[in-house]
Amino acid sequence: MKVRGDILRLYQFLHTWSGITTGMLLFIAFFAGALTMFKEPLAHWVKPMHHQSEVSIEQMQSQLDQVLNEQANAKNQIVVNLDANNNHQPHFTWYPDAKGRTLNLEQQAIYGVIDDNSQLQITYSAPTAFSELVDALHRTGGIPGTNDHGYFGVTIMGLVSIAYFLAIVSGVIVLLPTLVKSLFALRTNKGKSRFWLDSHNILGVTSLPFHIVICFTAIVFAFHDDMYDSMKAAIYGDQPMFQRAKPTQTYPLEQLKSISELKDIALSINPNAQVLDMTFRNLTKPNASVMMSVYDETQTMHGAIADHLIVHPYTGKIQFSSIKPGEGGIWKRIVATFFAAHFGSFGGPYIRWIYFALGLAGAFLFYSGNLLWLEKRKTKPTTSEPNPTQSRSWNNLAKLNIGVCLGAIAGIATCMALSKWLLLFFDNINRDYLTLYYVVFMGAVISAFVWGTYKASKGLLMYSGLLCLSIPITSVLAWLFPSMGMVAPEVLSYYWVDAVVLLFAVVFIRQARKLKQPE
Amino acid sequence: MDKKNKIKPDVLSKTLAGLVFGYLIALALVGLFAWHGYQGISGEHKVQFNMWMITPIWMLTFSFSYLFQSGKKAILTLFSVSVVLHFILYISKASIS
Repeated sequence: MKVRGDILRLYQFLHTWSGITTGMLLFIAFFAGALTMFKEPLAHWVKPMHHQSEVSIEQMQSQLDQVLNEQANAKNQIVVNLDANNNHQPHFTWYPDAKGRTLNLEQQAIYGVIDDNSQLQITYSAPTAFSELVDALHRTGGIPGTNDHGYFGVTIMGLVSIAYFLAIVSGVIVLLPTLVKSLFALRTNKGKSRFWLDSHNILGVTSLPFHIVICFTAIVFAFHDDMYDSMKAAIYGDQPMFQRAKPTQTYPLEQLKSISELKDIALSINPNAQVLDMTFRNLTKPNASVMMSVYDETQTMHGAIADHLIVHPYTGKIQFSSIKPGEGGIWKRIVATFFAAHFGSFGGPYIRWIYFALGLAGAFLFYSGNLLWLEKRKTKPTTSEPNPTQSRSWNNLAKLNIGVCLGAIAGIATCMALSKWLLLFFDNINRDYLTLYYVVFMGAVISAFVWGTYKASKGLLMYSGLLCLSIPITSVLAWLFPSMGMVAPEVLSYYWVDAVVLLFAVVFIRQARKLKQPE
Repeated sequence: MDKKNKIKPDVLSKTLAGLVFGYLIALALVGLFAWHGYQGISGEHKVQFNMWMITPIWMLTFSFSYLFQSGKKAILTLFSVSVVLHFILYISKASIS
């Protein structure tokens, strides 16, 4: 397709600059985002809560009644785990002080597990926040701090995503003239820069729909509050945007609907669904609710794992459902599709693996984009000057690229590798994660500036590779020497975690060894 | 191609025009859909869908605002379009409610 030269040049310029200014943050977001596809297995891999026996719904019910009667805080919030396949999570989880959904590193949780004698075993413990930390990195790009909308980094990533949208559109426009001719030509024999350009183009075009969806949803996630505010001002005015009459009535605990009654409500909407868990909230207050996670892998789901169904726990009236279109449900269903498209919560585990791969490929896309910038602006050696000095901006970007991208990987690898070891000595290691991550990350950036790109990237790749290698080794040790009290892989999903990390180790170490001193 | 038709880069002014007026255009178009589209203003759960629709319209307007011949033209055109759309939205809202 023909595109005018001046348009092409302008969009080439836009692509370069929107890409180079956002590429590193997007790298972190995509690398961490790929890992969040397996947030649940990762969380339990670090610190599982085992219960082996099958528990009937009647047993669950009688224990739940007892907990609610005896533990005052459980009435504020208690999670009941009903997933029969998930035997590394406690049956009940509640908190001494119920807080909202933020990364609370000091939080203690109370776990209730029904043992083989149908007795409830209660333990106090800090939930390990490793997977939460990875999720926070994904959403903020690692930028610390909060504002009144939540994480400050989310707002920054929203702005980054706007530039990212421009990078996508301009990238496509730039490629249009040569799209058919040379897209799938991976030229390995025409020099380094050609090779990077070709792989950047192939990756970019083949994962285009994925990038459009991720970018579009990320902008909405970052700015939805502001958008609602402006809609109120410009569109709705006095029209109510969200009709919700404030409830006033409270009910006695004895009238609480039973687990199986609540389950039937979910099944009456979708008989093929599976109720994974129920979260009871504010049971003694007028705004009492129970939220069920409803899983059906043949559907596009609203949440990261499952659909949500919120019911009044005493009357059984449905307050919110993202499951099936009822009255006005078409809008909710479409919106659920957007959420599912971002979280990869449709089509079961296959889609999760595909999203995992697409996320990693995305990270590589930004990395290769930065390398392209560097290759293009490199002062080429001439016969009169065989070792030309590079410009300052070139040097700084080259170092920053290595420091930030490899630093994020090294930081995550450090937290993960030390998790099981630190848990031997401390009950709450969540504070250590933040310290470890930022120390390693900053260390990586500094080392890139002190040692230069070659030495730093070789060192950082080797460091991350060896740490990743230590993770499956730790699991083997834990399995060989159970007396150490470390978490050994028992469930299939743990083996997967170890296997994938081993693959990372091989890739990192191989790349580190292959790296050649630049001429 | 003669020099007169060649587009000027004017990156800063076009970016600004695309971001600010692109948003206002998206807001007005979504507003028209909210009031006059399927199920009207009180359609259940339609608010969330409407909010989601702002971003794609906004972003497309923004990323194609560089096609204007100059930054000045981008600002003038996008500004005028958003004023007209908001005016239509305002009038049509008043005629219904």
